Amino acid sequence: MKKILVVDDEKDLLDLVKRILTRGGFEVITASDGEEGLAKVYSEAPNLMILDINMPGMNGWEVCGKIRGDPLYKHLPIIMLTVRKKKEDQLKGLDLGGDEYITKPFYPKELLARVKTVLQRSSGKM
Amino acid sequence: MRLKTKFSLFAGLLVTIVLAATFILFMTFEKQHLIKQTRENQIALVKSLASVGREALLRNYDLFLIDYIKTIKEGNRTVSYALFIDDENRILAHSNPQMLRQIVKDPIGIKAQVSQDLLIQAYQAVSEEPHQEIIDVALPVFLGKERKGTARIGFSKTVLEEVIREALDKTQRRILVVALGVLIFGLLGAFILAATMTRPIKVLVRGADLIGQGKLDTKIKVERRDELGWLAGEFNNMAERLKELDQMKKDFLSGVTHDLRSPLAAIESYVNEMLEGGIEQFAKTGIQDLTTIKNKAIHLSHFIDELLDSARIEAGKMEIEPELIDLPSLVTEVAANFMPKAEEEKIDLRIELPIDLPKVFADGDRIRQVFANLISNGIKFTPSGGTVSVTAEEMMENPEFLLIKVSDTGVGIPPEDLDSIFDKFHQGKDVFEYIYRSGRAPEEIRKVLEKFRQVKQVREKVIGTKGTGFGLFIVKSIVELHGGKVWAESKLGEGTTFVFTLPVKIGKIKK
Repeated sequence: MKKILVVDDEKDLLDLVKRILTRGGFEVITASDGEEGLAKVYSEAPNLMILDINMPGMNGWEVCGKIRGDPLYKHLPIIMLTVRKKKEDQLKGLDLGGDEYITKPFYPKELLARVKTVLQRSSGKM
Repeated sequence: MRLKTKFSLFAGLLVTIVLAATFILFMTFEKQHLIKQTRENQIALVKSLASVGREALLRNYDLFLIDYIKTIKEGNRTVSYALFIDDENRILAHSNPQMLRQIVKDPIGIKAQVSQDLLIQAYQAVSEEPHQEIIDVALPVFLGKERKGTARIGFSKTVLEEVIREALDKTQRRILVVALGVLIFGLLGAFILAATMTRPIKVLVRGADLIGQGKLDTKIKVERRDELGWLAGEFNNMAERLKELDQMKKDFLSGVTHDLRSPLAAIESYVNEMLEGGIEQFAKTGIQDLTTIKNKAIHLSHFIDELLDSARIEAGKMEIEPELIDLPSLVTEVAANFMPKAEEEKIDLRIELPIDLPKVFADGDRIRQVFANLISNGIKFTPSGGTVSVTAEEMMENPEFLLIKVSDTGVGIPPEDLDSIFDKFHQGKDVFEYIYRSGRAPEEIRKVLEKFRQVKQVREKVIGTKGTGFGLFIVKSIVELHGGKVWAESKLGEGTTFVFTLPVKIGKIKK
């Protein structure tokens, strides 16, 4: 079973994403800020990370940058999940090494589909 | 007219006026000086003629005198005539040889003859053509105590004036040449000065124009240690402040946008989930999801209320309607709303107000808002097992006010932040961010973060899940509208106490 780490500072959203992914047959762990999320990347070694951008403390950009800079985890697939709809934010997310950029509000089926696609793509790479 | 032109013209005019005035004054003095000098020369000439005449009388040698008179006449064209008369009124020597040995009879001559001292007479000579005005200077000559003769020289006033005029003309020409030079130099100087003055002004104008167009990164480069330099500096400071304000406005807008969009996005995502899931899914999670959606909606409307409140405060439009209110019952009423949550989170919410507390003169609804904000804050940032308490006491030093405290045993606030927490948009998460970025000792950060993580679980559950960032700003504004003060005391990782004062007497509210 693939393990997915979801990082978001909004608990309701975290709960929803967790429910959707669990329904989709994944093991889900959560973190409610960037620092905790980064710590869980190291301690839980997830197969994929869903990352919010606007968070207190370390934001999503920084978390993404840190993971891409770490030789052990730089291939960890990351999906940005954020309310930032601007094109330039999307490009920044992809530039920083995000594999997907999904804006809130999202559709559960679409989220699940994208998670699966990203996982397939990355396993094919490895 | 351009500043440069104006300045040059003005300077030119000034130089011209100064030159003209100097010229007139100089010429007047010069003329007076020349006249005085001429008179002195005339007297000196007569004196020397007198002394030569005296010599001639002593030696009885007239020829010498005649020669001398001839020299005087030829050496000085202002001299109309020169003569020497003996004690018998006979002309001993004369510039006109025909007059020799004649007896002087004209009234001028007779007057000169009797005078015991230097005598200067002016008269119209009728004998000569054209008629000339003559100045006759006469000096008696004494041998011992006996008067032996008179030396007289007649100067032609017309020629004198001509000589003076010639001398003045010469001076005038010289002065004019110099003045022209000065004028050109002055104008050139004025023009250069004007140019150096107006160049930085032009730079200023261009810079101010750019700033006006909203290019706030503009730096006006006028490096001078004078008013213009200071002005440029002020302009740069202004642009800097405008930039800060602009950034604040942008931050504010993006803050508001994010805070409005986030709960909306959550609501819509939940709705999507429910729509996709259908009836079957609804049976399982529908009610729970609807509750979440409802809470999000409540939070949004609360956020909008506070946004409007703070806009009202900023516009100076928030008004209070004070009345005498009983604090313990008001606080108990507010706290009742939070009791279930506090119990759920195992937080001890204590209202410790003395029953004999004097009534406060305040707007009940606004004060309810103050307590709701402070108590909900306390619960939000205090982990399970902690305490939130409300106390009040009369102030010894200022009996017109009541001192009220809302204390918690929560995460605390960094000392550097104790003032800025009352700013708009300062959220609890900012405190977190601050601690995270402050470079504090890892041990301290760990301790605070630990406590913060604990309370995060809690604060998601209390009313208005997330802070709005307006709460403390509104609290401060309301308290200050009542004439009171509010501040916070805190120790990181140990807890925070919000302290504020409210008036106890009618009519103590400052407008």
